[in-house]
Amino acid sequence: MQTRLLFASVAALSLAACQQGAEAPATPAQDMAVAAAPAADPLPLGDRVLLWGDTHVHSRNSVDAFATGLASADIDSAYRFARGIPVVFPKTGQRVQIDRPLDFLVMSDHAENLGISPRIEAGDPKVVDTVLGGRFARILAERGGAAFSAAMMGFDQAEKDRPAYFAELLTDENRQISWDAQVAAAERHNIPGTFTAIIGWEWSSTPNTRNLHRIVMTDVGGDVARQFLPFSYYQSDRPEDLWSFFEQTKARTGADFVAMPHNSNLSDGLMFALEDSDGNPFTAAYAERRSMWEPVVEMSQYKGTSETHPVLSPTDEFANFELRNMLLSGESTEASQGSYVRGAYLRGLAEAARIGRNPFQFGMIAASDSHTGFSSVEEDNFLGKMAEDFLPAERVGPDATGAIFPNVQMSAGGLAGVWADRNDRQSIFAAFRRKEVYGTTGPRMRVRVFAGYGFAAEDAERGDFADLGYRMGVPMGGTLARSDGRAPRLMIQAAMDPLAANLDRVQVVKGWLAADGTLHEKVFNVAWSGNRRMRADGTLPAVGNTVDLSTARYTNTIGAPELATVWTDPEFDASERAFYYVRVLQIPTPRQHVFDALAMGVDLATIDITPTIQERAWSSPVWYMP
Amino acid sequence: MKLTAWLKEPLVHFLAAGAALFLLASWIWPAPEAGRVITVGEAQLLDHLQRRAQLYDEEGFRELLAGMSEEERAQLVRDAAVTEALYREGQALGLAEADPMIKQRVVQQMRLLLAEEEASDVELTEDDVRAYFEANQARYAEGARVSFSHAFFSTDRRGPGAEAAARAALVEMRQNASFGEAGRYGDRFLYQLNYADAAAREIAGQFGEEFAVKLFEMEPGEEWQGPIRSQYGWHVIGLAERNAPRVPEFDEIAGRVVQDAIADARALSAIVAIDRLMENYEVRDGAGIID
Repeated sequence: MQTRLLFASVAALSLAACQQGAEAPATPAQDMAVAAAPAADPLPLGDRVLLWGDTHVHSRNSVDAFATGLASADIDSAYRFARGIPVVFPKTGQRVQIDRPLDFLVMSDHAENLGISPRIEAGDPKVVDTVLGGRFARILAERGGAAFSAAMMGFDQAEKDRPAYFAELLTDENRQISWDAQVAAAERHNIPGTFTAIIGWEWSSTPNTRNLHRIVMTDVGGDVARQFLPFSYYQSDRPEDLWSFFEQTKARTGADFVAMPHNSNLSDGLMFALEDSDGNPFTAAYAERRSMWEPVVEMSQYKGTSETHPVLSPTDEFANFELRNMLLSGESTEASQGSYVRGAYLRGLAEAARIGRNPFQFGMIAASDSHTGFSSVEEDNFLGKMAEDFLPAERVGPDATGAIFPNVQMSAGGLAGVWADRNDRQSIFAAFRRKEVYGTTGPRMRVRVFAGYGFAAEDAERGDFADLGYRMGVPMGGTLARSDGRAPRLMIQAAMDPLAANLDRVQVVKGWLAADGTLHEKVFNVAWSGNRRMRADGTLPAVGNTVDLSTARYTNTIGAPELATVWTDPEFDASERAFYYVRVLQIPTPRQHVFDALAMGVDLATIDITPTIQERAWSSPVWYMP
Repeated sequence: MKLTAWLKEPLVHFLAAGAALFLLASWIWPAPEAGRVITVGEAQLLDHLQRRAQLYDEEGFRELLAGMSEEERAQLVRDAAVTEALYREGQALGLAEADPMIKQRVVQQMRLLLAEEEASDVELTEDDVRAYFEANQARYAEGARVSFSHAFFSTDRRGPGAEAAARAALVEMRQNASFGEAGRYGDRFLYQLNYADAAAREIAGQFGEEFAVKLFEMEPGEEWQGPIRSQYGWHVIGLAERNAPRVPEFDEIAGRVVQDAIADARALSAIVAIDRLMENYEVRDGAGIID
């Protein structure tokens, strides 16, 4: 301990020396005592901080969010809401406010027809004086918001004809005006250190109603972002072309990009299919490109959770969670590995063995996909996916509004936890690149994972947990060094959201490629609340359920506020490729629709949705390669 | 090379199941009964159950049917009749024609059927596969790749002392540290501690071009090397593996080439099949016969 203090004071002195000017001697290099102990830090290195953000929010600048004309918030209100400021919900005129401010936000308005709807409403001559713009303006005036939005989305045109159809309206000049407005809004609300507005958009490719959407974000500020236009599916609906756009734009402007696929559950197996857009099997070059531009996937959001499906993971007792296995049109599809992130992780191991490079070595987060403008992830105060069915009477009961994605069915969740050096664009972007990110269904559960070979059982409780983690292992998103024969250990800390429910358990999900080429997955219970005994088959008795469905309340009399452990893989084979990720479950709590049903006096039994859920967090994986 | 492996393809199962269903359906709902009479017997009820469950388990559903109460059975008969009646009405209105999704589905199914029929004749010899390999070398080319761990010494935090600190660490690491212990030395890096099978472009993207060039010039081995400089500072390198760019020998990846060659032949035969089909059609556009 004394040595440590001594180093700290030497470090402080050398810092002071450095700050006095360029002539100051470079102390560590000249002081032999310090040079001989290179492992010591020259100045204390602060730990990474946990930042909370939503990478997927739409304002009324998105063509679909505009649907009811005046119901969804404008982009400034969206930012203000995320920053914790009270705002007015245009649909009802009421005041709404987030429970806690976010640390960062990506306004991900659809690139297709970006910002055109409000410009038509405002009568912008650059838009309404085009043939198409004039036609849309008449539809809005004569037939209202819903017909207007349908027309604006080009649904009366075949998918392949839409680029040509919209070309006359979407001139580069018109696109630039809309884009500059998005960028300017981000610049207005970006306050480094406090709140980061990351510039981005959504690329909305949907071939044959199979969802291939990606959220795109960039690390640069407005000055650089104005030098390109957001790539839309009117340019191309092929992911490879999106990556080409990134490559060319990075070379031209220096902007870096990350694309995050979402709602693979709505892709009919296409999102993580094992072939490229031409139907060819993957090559190493394809896999390199894909993992370069798509380091993170948005795995859970309002429109469903894409972790896995009971059909794919029959032994995972928690696989049946907020599933929506369908097309974007609402038509149900078969559950396939290509639609789920765990399936992709498994396929990635086999592909890596086949072609030498894993195309699916990505981290995961969750986000909302709010189209109201408001990032809303609380079960007891869910503002809804679309503004159309915001009111309780529109959601449940005899007068509920029909929709493909009605609010009553939507999951009230999707938030990203990011372990970043600082709260600014570059630092958050770097965290996404290294995949030190995770997702939750809304509650701000603090989850930290390090994987290494040398952790001891008591290390999980240490005060310098994180410092040890970085020294002796790799954080979530990392790759383990090759094993010297020892099995990997995961050092895990999970803490409840202080404003939400206790924790039930921590699990490790492992997937591996066996020597015979078969893929396997297994869920391990590794830490849990109370004095429950693990059964011989590795399962645990349920934590219990305190939810009172007549009042929509629960109590924290079961579960634990914190769970920590060091877990050693009991089945490790150093010759097998593997991944590990952590899943943290809360105790049961009432689902969002229960609150509306109680308010409306609607019998819960008439709504075919489970009334209690176990909210959860998922870490990005750590990979092992022999 | 026989294409017996195809019998294991999910696509083939899917097509076979589709064809069987089609035959079954035309037997269950025979064409003459298209008016105002709907006969619902055992076969129709089974079909109805299976379609509704999207699960094809005839034996299971037969048992289910046998165990049903009269009331339940009556309800099921009515459900099946309603479904059939709505289907006939919809057909009469030509809804299937008007719905682009249905049309697309039919077109897709037909395309697959055609391709399958044509491909069943395809046989590839080893020479064919080798020729395919020769013609598609670019597809199998592997770029240079490295697997390494590194200890990082930040110039941001250490100033000009970073290099000396890295050099001193190198001496100690050579004596005391395995590649797996890189994190115990130096500073926390912005990206990863360990890289496996990383391509030059990925390395250049995270460390800078100059670092990537130097790293790929190093020889892999058991010893710590360096330090080399990146845009962030100095790095002591444990280079476990470096693969030069190359095209693998045919024998190393024969299995993969066979799969690709078959897929390619299948795609080609589908085009042939469609061309042959189109020979039976005369295509006219407004301006006259174009084919």
